[in-house]
Amino acid sequence: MAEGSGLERPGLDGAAGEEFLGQALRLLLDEAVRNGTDRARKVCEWREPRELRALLDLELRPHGEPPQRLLQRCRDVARYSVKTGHPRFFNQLFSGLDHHALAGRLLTEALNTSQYTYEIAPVFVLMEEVVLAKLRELVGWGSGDGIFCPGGSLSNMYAMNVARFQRFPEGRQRGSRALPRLALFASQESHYSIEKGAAFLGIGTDNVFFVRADERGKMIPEELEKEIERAKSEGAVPFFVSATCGTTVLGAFDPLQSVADVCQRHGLWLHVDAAWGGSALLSRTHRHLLAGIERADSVAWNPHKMLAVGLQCSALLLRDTSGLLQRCHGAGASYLFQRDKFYDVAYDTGDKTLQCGRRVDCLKLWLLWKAVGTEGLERRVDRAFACTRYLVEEVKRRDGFQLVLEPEFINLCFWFVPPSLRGREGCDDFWERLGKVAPAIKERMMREGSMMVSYQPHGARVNFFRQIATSPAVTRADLDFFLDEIERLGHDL
Amino acid sequence: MRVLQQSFFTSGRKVKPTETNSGPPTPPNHPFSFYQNPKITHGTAPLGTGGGFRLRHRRLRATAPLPGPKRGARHRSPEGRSLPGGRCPAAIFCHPPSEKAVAGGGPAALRVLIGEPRGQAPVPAAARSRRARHGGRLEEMEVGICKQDMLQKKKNAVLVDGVILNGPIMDSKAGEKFVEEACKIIMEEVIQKANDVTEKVCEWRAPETLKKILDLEMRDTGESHQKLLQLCQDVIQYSVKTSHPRFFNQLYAGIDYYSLVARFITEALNPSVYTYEVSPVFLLVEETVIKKMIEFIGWEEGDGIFNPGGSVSNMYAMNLARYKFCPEIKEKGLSGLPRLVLFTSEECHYSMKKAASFLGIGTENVYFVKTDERGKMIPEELEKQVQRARKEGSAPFLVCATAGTTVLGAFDPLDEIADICEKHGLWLHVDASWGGSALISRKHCRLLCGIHRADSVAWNPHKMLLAGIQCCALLVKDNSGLLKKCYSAKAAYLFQQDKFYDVSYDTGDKSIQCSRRPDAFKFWLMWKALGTTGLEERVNRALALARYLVEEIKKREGFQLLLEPEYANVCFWYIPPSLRKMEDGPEFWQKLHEVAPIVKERMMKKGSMMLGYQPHRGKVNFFRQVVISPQVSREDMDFLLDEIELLAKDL
Repeated sequence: MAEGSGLERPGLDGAAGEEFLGQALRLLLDEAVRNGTDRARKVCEWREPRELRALLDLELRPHGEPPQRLLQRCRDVARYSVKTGHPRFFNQLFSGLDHHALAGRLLTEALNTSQYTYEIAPVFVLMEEVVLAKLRELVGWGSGDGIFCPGGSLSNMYAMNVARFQRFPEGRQRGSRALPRLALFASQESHYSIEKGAAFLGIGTDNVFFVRADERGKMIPEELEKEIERAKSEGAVPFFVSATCGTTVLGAFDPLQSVADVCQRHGLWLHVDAAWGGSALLSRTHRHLLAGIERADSVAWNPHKMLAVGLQCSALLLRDTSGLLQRCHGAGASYLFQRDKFYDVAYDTGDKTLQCGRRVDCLKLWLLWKAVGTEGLERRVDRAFACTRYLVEEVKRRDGFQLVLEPEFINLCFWFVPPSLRGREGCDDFWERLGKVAPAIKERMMREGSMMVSYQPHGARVNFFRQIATSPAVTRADLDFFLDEIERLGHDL
Repeated sequence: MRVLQQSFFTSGRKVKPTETNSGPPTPPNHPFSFYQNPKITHGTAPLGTGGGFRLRHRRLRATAPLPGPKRGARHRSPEGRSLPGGRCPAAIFCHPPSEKAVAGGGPAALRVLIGEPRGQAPVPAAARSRRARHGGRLEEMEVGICKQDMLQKKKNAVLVDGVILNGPIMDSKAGEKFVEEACKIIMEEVIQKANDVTEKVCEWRAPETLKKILDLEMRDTGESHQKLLQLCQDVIQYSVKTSHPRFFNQLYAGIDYYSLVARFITEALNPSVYTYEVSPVFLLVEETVIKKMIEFIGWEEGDGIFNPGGSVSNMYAMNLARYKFCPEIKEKGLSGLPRLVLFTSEECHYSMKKAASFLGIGTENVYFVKTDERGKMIPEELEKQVQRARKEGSAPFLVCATAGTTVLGAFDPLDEIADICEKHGLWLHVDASWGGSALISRKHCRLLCGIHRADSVAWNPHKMLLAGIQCCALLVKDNSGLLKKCYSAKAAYLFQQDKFYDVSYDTGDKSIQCSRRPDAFKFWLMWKALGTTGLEERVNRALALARYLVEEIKKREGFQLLLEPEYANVCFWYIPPSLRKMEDGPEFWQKLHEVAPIVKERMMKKGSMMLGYQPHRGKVNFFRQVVISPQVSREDMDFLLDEIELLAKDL
């Protein structure tokens, strides 16, 4: 079997590979980094799925292709991908391209390691610790624990599991069947991952008690109190409250102090899903939105959203210092976490996680932070707020634009009422017709590729736009363009 | 670096006069041109708290605000001198004009006055008086500071809460240059050295020492690009070179240039795979790759999703099996239900236990099935365990077979296990995270014979096929949308049903994640580059090298195989000369147990290679050698054995 002279030499051509990589890097800098952020170019190059499938020639075949062909494919991939780093991509809670973070991400990929032991990832084990400590410091904790997770949804699920474990440690072994019916609480505006988490963890979505929010989307503490009582009266055991800082659609912040009071009174774990709003902690001007966050037991915070770190960079932070995370998730695999290593195995932090192999998500944030400093990050946050405020005033001033509500954060929610519907607000079919405006405008903007912004119905409200400007590359001209473009695309509807 | 800096920050920051909307100039000593946020304007009120907004425009004279100090840092002028008192020159603009000064400047809600070039417009009264109050000093300073930037007149400057919105707050040119420089370092320090066996695999430093070497602290102010590039170099120097031909430590190793290119592109495009709208290309790529992987499993159709790791894939499968077994659990939860029991071998990956506890099933409800001496699940034992569970009144629902166990590389007999599952109506999941790649090889795919009978399969191309961390697929035989039914939450803000395209392409609701990385793409590009035959050669080669090593181990004195490997895991003891004559007994094994850790310590401190060791089910510490990288040649295998001999000869 081992015959074959092939084994004498490496099984791949390193020189050719390096050359290819060099060419691809140039392509990447041109297409993705430069052109992808160039206002003169499109945000997206819309193609129907069938058409795009044909253009890309996706099929995987028995034989490989030459480098030039592959480079063309890379160019196509860049061309038909949405340019999320483009200054006019306002579609998601992430956008923009930060060059420092990008360098960190490229380096992460090149080093290709997994964050479980000090042996394998010495630099990143230490770095993760420093980054998490810094994030905790901004939350207001001098000590604690934490871990980077593959996304805010998983951070929320981690928190839920740790809270369950803290309350019922025997559940880990015996399962939730042996526990009473558990109840957890989140506002009706909370992220859908809370529901997904309850299903995944075997708690059940029926046991998520959704607490009413006020008209601005903030949890009403009195309602939380009522829901807790209701759960108790149904025989369920409340254990976990997830407050949201920066809800997905409206950008609302739950009143943490009052929520924390309720949690304290009932002895409940307080988790704060600050995946979106957490970055406001960096701003001395705006961090009051999260006042009381230091009273939480756990916090989920995604720097990949507002800070343009790049997907994914999502931290779960814990106030606990007793090793709860390790006890809750640790499995002590002897092939990875040998106890007789020659260094302090306390640095082998990988057993705290649910995952085994885990990506290095700290380097990109760390490098960005090193580059711009806490101050630079603060400026970005302040600027995003300022952009939104500018738009709010513009929206108020312009005909046909109508705010859904005064934003607390940087989610700008508004309707565009086209000329044909103006003055018809009293008509029976007004809302129904207005609900069709956003999808029509969205289609037009995507076909033109001029920008991207999302829309959604929400509660009883018909489709409205939700605009988010987090990219540090956005300027006032982009904001004006945004409104002008909506007007232009929707004027004849 | 000096030269570089100058070209970035001195010439690079000159804004062409035609760029009317470009931002204020960049200070030469800061990597990016961040503008000072003049906090002294109001604007501490949160948005929307009613009347709190302050949208102010002011007549900027010749210049825009310059970066200034915060958190006690002293502002540095473009010449590099510190300014008196650390005050920001922009401060002169920071005080908002009084209401009167801007009255009549437009609608009350938005007082935007158009700034005009110096000399053409009257200076607002308040600003005038403030300037007067500060006397000539500020004037003078302002002129001094802004001399070289005087020509850049700010038009239409809009200040909101002290934040200028006109220009971007980042200098893209400098940023791009930085990425280029970083790429150069990556190429030189990581990629080009990846093939070089004379380079160290690792540069060992104890945690406390490394903390001191690396300047990890995150500070208030940013660092220069030069410093940042140095930091990148430090990160590289002290990181383990997993692409080194002599890195045998994990179930991943080596470098594939094509997948790396795809990974770089992914990072630059920064997509999230949830909707066709946001990720058209990557969704189609994922669909294609999953289809292809399903073909290799032998299913005619199916479903699948890429996950952040094999552990998560296993959890998905467990939850899916539970959902199939009893869909109401999704809503009702497990409280008060009978015991759900799942079966897996003693040699399975630890993620099974982690999953059982995370999903609320409980670790005691994982029934571990005995394996034979080669680490393979014994089907008769599985049958017994299922019977036992039934007798106990619990509800068996899932069998998890392993194709390629972590330590021994064993493959459970899938066909016989599938028979039992069929008989008892149990979901069969195959954890082929490690072994799945053998499916690509016509020579070795028989190891997974019967896998087509599984209900779900976890397969990580980032291991044997070098797709790069992470690249992990969960494949599901069901084609009725079980995955979606099990996981969907139908978020209206993301999965709108009135989109203008076929929303069945918005597959993100199948996931437990919200944002998700496009991990299929790297595998796709690599596959395009190598073709199926290229991937097959890779697998065949790795297994041939493992075979070679096994033969060498048998030949060499002092080396002892634990067992004949089925796959790429070569497990062996090294018995140093001093132990060779010892009698077999507890003392011998105790002494042997101590050998591997010491050899490991020595190899890491020397940096010559890395391979893993562990105790395992009553067996004392042994080495587990894993060959993956196509860069590895026979010489590296010989080196491995020579090096162990060398490091352990005195033990």
